[in-house]
Amino acid sequence: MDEKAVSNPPLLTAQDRDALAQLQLLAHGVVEGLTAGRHRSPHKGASVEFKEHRQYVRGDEIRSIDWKLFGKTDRLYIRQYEDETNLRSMILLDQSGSMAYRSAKPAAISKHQFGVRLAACLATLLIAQQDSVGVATLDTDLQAVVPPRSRPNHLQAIYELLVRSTPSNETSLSQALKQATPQLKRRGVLFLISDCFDDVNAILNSLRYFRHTGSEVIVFQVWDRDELEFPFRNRTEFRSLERVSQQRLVDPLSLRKAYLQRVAEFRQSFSQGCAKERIELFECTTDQSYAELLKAYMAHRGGGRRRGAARLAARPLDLVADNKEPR
Amino acid sequence: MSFLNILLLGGAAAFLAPLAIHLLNRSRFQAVDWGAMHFLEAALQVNARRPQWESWLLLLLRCLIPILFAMGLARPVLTQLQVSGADGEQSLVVLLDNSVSMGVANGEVTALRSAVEATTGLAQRYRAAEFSVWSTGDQPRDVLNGTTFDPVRIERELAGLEANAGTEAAVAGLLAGIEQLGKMSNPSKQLVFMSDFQASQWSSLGDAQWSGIKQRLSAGPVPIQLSLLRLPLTAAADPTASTQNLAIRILPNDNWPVLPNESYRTEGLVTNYGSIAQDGVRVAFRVAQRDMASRTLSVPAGGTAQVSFACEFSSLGQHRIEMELINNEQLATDRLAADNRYQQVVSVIAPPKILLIDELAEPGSQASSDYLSMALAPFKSSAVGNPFQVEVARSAQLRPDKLQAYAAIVLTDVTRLEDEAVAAVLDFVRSGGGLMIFAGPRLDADWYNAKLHDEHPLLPMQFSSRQMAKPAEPMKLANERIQVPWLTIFHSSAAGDLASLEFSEWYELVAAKPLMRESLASERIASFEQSAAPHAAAEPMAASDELNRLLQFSNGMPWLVASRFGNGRVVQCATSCSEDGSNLPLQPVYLPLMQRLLAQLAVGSGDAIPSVTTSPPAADRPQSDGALTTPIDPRESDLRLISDAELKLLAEQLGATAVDSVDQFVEQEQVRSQGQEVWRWLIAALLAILFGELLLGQKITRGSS
Repeated sequence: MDEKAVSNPPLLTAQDRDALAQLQLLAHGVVEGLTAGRHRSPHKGASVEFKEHRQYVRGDEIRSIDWKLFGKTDRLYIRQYEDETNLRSMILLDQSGSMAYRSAKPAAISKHQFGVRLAACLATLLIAQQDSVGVATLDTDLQAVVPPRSRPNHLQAIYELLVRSTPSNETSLSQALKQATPQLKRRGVLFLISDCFDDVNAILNSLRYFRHTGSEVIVFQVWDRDELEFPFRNRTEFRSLERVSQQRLVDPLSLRKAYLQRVAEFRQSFSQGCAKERIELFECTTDQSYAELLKAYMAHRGGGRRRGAARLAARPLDLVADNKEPR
Repeated sequence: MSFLNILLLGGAAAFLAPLAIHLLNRSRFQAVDWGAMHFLEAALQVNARRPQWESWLLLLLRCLIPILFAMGLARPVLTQLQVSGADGEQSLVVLLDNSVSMGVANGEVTALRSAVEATTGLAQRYRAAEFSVWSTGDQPRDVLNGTTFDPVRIERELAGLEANAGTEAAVAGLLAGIEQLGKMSNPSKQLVFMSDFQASQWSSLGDAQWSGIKQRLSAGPVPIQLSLLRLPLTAAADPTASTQNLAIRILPNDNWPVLPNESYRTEGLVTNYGSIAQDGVRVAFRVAQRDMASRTLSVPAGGTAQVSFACEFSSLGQHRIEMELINNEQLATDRLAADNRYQQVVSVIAPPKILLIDELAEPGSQASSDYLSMALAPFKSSAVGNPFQVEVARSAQLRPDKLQAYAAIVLTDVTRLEDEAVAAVLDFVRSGGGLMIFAGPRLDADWYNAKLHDEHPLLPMQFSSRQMAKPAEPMKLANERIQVPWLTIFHSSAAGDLASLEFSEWYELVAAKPLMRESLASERIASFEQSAAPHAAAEPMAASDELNRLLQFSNGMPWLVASRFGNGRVVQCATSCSEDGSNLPLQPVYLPLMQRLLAQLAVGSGDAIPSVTTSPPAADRPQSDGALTTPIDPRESDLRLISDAELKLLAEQLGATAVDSVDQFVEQEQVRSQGQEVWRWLIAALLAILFGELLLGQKITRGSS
């Protein structure tokens, strides 16, 4: 939909270029580490194999007629081949305001920065596997799109989009997801990198649409540890990253128990919804290693299909240490 | 409520500190740009429904901590506990028990000395109080002879007080103290009773007495505050040892008269008040402070043992005999020394002279007085002394100048007397002589009634008609318990059987005038018995006309009656003293009965000292002049005390408070007059709040995690 933005991306600033270089370095480093030692096929199109014949009907391409068989049988048959094995994937990066949260810990990064780097790593990994990959950013709407391509130089466009992404606006993930459906008309893999701070049912409904097209949906739910542990002790004014006017001055100690309860309920609800919709859910925190995360993903790709995504999604993730004292 | 250090109360303002910290914390906060606002909002909604009382309670506790601390330092006094009217200057009466048991030593200090120190301590503490001190041993006595404000005088006057005042008089002492407080002017009235509270003394007193005293305490315009202060009598760790005590006393002796150079037998009674049997208890017997003999005996726990000694007195006059527990190992544990010695004064007299008036007294002839004369002076030999010197005369010889030598006169069936003789007899009896009248067949009853009853009220009763019994049915004496103490020896037949007496003729004795309320003889004997054995005084003589009748017939008519006339006494008998009309002189009981009757009459003659005196001087301070003092009450020797619970119960019955020391009394008095200091409660509350704050803080922190 935003083809203009895709075809003519704004010029990168010097800062963006530095960020881009870092992102490339990070993504390649992570992917090289993951794929080192693995055999890569030198043949292109080797996967195009004959499957069966069927009778010609009007409208079939003339070039697909098996002329040799016509010569023998005097009938028109169409040669059918195995479909392409190249993966068509789309990475959706949430850049809503809530993704801008960054812990006060030193060297901490925001959820958005984490998402950007994770998306870059994923794109690099997929391109390296000869798969087509595209990237889109979204908040209340679909903001920018790089359509799926498998060319290696396609990564540059993806990186540039990711570098230019800045978190802002409110979250309306379900609406933005609906707008992203044309980007993955054919069966493929949809990667959603988001904190999923929206109505659980609305998100699941939107993702269900991708599932109906036969696509696989993988959600990387990004948390900051602060959001899971709520370590605040002194009186704190919480200012919304999405709505400027929304702010709350509270005593965190008295609020912590109820807050953690709500978070736990949300996580459980979302996790159960994903399992039900056969959506693979990876909960991650911003202090996690991308390599470990991708390793988990690749392990899932290697055998997860046979075991089923629900099983993976239901796997408890040790993200929160409940007995941690608030700070 | 008031405060002793009210300035320190300002420290309570420190409660502002936690409040300020709270407010400061509220104004200072950190800002966080937060993404997960929808979780926060949801949590806020839940928290809004939950009460925040824990936080407010925590703030309240933190504010209370400095307030309670400051109040504790300011020493608050709860004036609500102040007794109305108790404030102001005090009138204080101290009742000091200086009975013998207060001489028990607790270490180096006797209980009485502790009481004296407590009293002087009170005087030092209450210098503005008006003091009066009474001793309650035997009889209440005003030790200070009035009241004083001077502690030095109190100390000086009490220095000489000793625990030798006989028996504790608790009730009389309390009443005297209440009366004394009524005379004192200061508005706050305090009565402090200091005693050892012996069980033998206090347990015997009844509820009626206590309720009466309680009424008296609250009867005045300002109620009297009574405090019972128990002195540390029993400091011994072993309660058994604390009551260990041996006591000796000489039993009353009714051998009368005691004549010179005749054997005199006396008995002592050793009592063991402890719970451990005592063997080898040695008793020394002394006459005039000379050791005469000693005996060794065993005394069971809580029991008694008798010891007997005999001696002779060579001269007339009073002789002091003494028994003492000596050189006993057991005495090392004996807590009361005062009752280890007992003294008695024995009066040795020449035989009293008795004049028998007999109209038939002729040498060689049978006379009415023959039997009586033999009964009173049975021995003809001079080697053995007769108890009486008897002379027989006719009534014509009754002359005033002649009667001075006699202790008693006996009219043995005398028909009548000449006027001069009547006057002589009247003077004789009036001046203290004894008169006994026997009524035989020769007696002119009308003359007696007119002359000696109606004209001169000498006779106790009138002679009425002369009665005669059938030979087969002689009159006998009533078989009933004899009330007169000195005749009680006839309860046993060993002294003679009164039931063997049979009468065929007698006069009816009737009362034409109100009978005496008490027989004088009975009174004298009763006092005799009381002085010898105070514990027996618990059975007082009833003031009844019947007591005038010494003995009576089985039909209820009197046989022997007695009355007082002037300083003397008269005994009237309804029969003869000879064999006329009865078998009286032929019975064994005749001799002891007549001797006892005449002895009693002789005792009452004039102001003569009783022949036998059983009242010893104070055991540890023998009186050189032989003055008669109260002997030690056996109850004083029993050192068991009433228990603390009983003392509290007693205090409740009296509306009093039981205290153990002067300090406790002062503390209670301070509460009564000023109120209760409550800083200890506040500090306890402070500690509780500190603990509660800790717990609540932990709970809130844990609840938020």
